[in-house]
Amino acid sequence: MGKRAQTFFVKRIMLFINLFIAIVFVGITLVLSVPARRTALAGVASTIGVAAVAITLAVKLLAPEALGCSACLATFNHDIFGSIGVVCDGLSAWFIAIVGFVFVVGAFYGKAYIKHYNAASAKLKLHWTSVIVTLAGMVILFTTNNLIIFLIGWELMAIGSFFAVIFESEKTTVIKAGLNYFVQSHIAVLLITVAFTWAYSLTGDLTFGAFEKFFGAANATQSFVMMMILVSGFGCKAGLIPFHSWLPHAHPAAPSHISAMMSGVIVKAGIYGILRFGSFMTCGQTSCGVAILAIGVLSGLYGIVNAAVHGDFKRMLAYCTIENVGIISMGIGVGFIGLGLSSDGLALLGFAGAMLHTLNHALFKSLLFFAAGNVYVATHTRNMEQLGGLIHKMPRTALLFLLGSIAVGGLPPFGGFISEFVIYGSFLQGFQLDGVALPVVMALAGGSLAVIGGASMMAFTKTFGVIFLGTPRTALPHEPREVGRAMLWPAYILIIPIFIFFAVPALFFEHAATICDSLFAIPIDSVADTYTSFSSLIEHISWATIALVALVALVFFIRTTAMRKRAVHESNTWGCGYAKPIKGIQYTGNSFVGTLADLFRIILPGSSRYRQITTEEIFPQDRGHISANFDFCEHSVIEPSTKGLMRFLDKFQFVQNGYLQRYIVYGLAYVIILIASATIF
Amino acid sequence: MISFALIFIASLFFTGIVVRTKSIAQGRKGPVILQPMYDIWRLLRKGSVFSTTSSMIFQLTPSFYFASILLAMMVVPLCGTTGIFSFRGDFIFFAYVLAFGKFFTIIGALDTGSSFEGMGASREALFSMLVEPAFFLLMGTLGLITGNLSFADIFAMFHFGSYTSYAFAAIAAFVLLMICMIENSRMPVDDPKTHLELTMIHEVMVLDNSGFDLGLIMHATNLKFAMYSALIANLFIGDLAWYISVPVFFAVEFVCAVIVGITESFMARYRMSHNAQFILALSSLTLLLFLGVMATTGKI
Repeated sequence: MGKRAQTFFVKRIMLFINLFIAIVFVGITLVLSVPARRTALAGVASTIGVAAVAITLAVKLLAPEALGCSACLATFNHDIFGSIGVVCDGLSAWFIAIVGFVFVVGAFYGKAYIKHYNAASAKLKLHWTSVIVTLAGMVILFTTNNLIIFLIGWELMAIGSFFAVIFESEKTTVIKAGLNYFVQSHIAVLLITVAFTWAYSLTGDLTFGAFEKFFGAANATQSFVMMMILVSGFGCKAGLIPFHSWLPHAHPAAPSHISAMMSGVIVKAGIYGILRFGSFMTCGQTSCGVAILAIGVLSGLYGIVNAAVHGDFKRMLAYCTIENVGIISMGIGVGFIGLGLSSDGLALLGFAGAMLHTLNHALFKSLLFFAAGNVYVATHTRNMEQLGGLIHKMPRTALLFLLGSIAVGGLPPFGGFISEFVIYGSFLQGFQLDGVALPVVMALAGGSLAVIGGASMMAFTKTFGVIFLGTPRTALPHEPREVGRAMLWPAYILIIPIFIFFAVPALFFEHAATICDSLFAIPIDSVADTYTSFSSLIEHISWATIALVALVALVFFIRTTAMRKRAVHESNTWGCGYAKPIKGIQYTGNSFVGTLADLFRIILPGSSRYRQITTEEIFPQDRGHISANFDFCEHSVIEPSTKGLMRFLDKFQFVQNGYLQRYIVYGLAYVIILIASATIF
Repeated sequence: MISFALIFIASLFFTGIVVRTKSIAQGRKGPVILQPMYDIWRLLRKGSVFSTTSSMIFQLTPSFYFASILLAMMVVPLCGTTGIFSFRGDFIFFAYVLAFGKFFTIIGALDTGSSFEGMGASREALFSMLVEPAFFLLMGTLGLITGNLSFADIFAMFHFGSYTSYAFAAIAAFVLLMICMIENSRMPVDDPKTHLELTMIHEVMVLDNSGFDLGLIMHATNLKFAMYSALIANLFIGDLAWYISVPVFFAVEFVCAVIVGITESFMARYRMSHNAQFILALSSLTLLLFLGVMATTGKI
């Protein structure tokens, strides 16, 4: 590109940035100024506007890369922040596209979902403002190369999503969950800030260049420590264990469209961070990769086993998010191992698998949360043990949930299978690595992914079966009926990209692979083999999955044709001779996963209260059975340690005594110590 | 295509041989070999009874299950020919297609709102979850031995060069046979011929199916048996010429059927609570196999 073209390009980008800032402010003003009943409409319109500008910006910024120039182009200087660059390479564009799409669809769904609150004007205005702020924050953090701006974007996202979560702020559980999320997301910010400060203090650079220089100069240990700080910070957002405990609280508390946005895209900001900053590493990637892989495997297993046992269906979906972030991290881990060993094909497969799964998970999980939201609106309960047989009342929602369940379990024919297949492919390639340790690690990780797949089938057959199949387990206050069209069609729109992925998975793989290739500076020649063989492989799989669909249709067609001439009649479910079946004899969700829970009792602390019938009790009284499952990390790790911390800090309570004079003395003492230490040292 | 046809032919006789073996072991004459097929044919021509509780899902699932098995069969190579679909990592596809079918069987069972069928569904889901890693590790190990990642290439390259590969083949055959038993809910994890409350996995899941649907499910079991036995047969066929390999295939199918019959005649079912450990032990065995292969290929 010539110099003139360059200047022209920078000008155009600046125009877009100004447009972006303007539209965010116009959007917020619009939301705040229109009458209450139009707030939702204004909110949706603003979200679309912001997302549209962001996606256009991403496309514009991607263009020169396609022409063969470097990605980071438009930079301008600021007195305080230093050089601010607007970066948008493939990675940012990939994430912005996902975020923009999910937010727009989510906004449409949200408009219908919270329409009962139209009277509560202030609440609605705050909600839509925070949605716009969250979106703007995410776009900022995906497109900047300045560390401070990155943190500001991150913070906007954290605070915006906090306010969006506590929409039903009159409920104490919601506030509690919201605060839990708020605190944990700021622990994430703290850890990230530590990492940024460390890099800045050594290099004096406030852009991503700081990390480039840091990793360039650091030895393997320093790189490892730095990366682990970043992984803990970003992992806290992404929901990797043991930093996941906010997810199972925040997701059920938030309105469903916010759950979809959080689970679909906000947790992915953590993935973005790990990929972005990991790309600057120059040494020590192998040990980092193994660590990330291990965390991923543990998160995956932990998440899915918890998802299987929990009875609150939105909490179950939250745990499933932890599982899927675990799978994504497994891919990233393998990618780093590949980078560390200069096994480029391995790196490419790992990272591409992670990117594809990020996309797929965003789509499926939003779909599932929309369907779950429909169920909640129709029944006003999140406890699946109270539901049952909803497929007769809500057939469309049931179909949507079924699609999502198949897809998220990684079963063919949907995209989840393709992305998991790429990750499996990377493990199998990893078997060929030298030495004993890494192939064994790969074998164990592959085996764990197989277990995760199986457990996820269990979790979703349970959830779908208990909510939608069988007969109603309790009498609900209102007869549930199918939700209105406004809450269904955003979910239908989500199905479109899922089907596009089903039709042309190779195209998505090629894009993901190209992006990883340029991000991690993997030489094209060395991966050309893997690249072409895998994209043709994925085409093969795509044909095989199409064959699956065709075969299913064919068998069903033959069956229906054959059945046409046969006598068909209806009767009760066969109760093995028991003539008066009641709804209570149905298998419950809890008993469905009972054996699994017993098997994993170590990580599934639970309590169960039941009074045995004694011999003295001649006429047995009414009795109940209460059982509950806790989160192991929260219950056995985080709570005891925070309690210990509180006990320790209680000893200093005398400091806070309510006397203003003493507080002034503290201030004075602080200043004196400061001056004294400054003069001495 | 040839492999598909061969497996289909083998499936027609498999259960018959199992039943005949059992009857001989019990001192009975037993029905003709094709009796199970006559039963299925009769079922296919019958009408159906559907539960009032069930929805469309219940009517869809048998076809989905059957189709998934058919597609899995298309991936299996045999006698020097590849399956209809053959690509690197096709064994993962194989496992996931079977899981797809299983997903639908499970929700089909839950659709009836019965207590028995839910129980069976729960166990089917749990056991198939536990058996997944064994299959992945086994095929991964075979891939490691041969340096290939598709069924066809793995089996074509799997030669009997040394005594160690005999050992590997024996262990692999054992693991595959066990996976086959677990997937089909046969002895020693489940007994399909006992009273209902004792038969707690597969048979109980299909209590409410009748007519054409039940026929599909019954034949799907036969196909599954023949398909896994075909995988075992592949371990021993290698790249033999067709006039040797086809008889070897049928011989292996026959031996597998007889082994199933003998196991069911002389073994008691494990306690349900022990099954999980038993299945997990298979995964450890395959991990040992993996380490053994690494030792022989000079990595340890």
